Amino acid sequence: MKQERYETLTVMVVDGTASPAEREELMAWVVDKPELRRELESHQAVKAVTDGWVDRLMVDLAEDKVQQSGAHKLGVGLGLGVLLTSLLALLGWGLGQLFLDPEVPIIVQLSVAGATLGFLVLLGVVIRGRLNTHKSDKYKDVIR
Amino acid sequence: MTADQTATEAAADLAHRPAGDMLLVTTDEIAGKRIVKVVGLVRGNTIRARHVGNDILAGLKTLVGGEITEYTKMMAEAREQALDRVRAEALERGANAVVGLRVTTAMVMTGAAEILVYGTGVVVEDA
Repeated sequence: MKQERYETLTVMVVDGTASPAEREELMAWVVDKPELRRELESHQAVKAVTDGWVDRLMVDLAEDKVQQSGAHKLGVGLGLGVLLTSLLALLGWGLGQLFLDPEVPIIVQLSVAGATLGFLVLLGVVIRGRLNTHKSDKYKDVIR
Repeated sequence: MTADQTATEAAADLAHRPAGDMLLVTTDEIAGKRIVKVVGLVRGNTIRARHVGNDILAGLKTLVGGEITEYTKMMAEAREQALDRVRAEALERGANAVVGLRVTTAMVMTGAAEILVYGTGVVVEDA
């Protein structure tokens, strides 16, 4: 068998595109040539590994496609926006009721007001800090 | 990293060197290289979190299964940052490679990723 034919058949067999006759032709050629048999097995092992990579990459690509789709981003943004706004409104209403209720002791009202103010100041500090570092955070683009 | 100035100098040094200069390996030796000097332990750690929106999404994903990409990203960010800090410290201490690299994680708080990377900084030459 000529070298060119051997290489062509090897590629076809490894890729799985060889006909039964072509596969038989190659196997008959390498059967008494241990070196060529090892070479063929090595190619097949590499193909098996790289096929596995492709399968895994396809999963990642599918995930990326979902994450980057406009519908996904819109849904996440809308859902989180509505959820957090509603929770904040509910919290605000609860605090308002607390301050409007004349039966609530003044010490409780002052304590809640102080705790809320402290929380908001701390929240402002961490948000400001994050905004300042966000632009220079080179790790924010790392995906996996 | 003990001082801002040191960190800045190391970062500046890193910026001027090709990324491939610093070889990080998990093995104790490097094939084709000879260790001529051990500079000692080098390490880098970080703890990173994602914003509350991602935590809510991640929590919801536990209902349906599959990969929680929000936390995959968080772990990947932490890993890369910790590795860069190892590189920076190794550079600062005059090493050009790190052998015996190890990566560990711990749980300091829910929803945050702590990654500690450490190894031995060494100076290697072609064998």
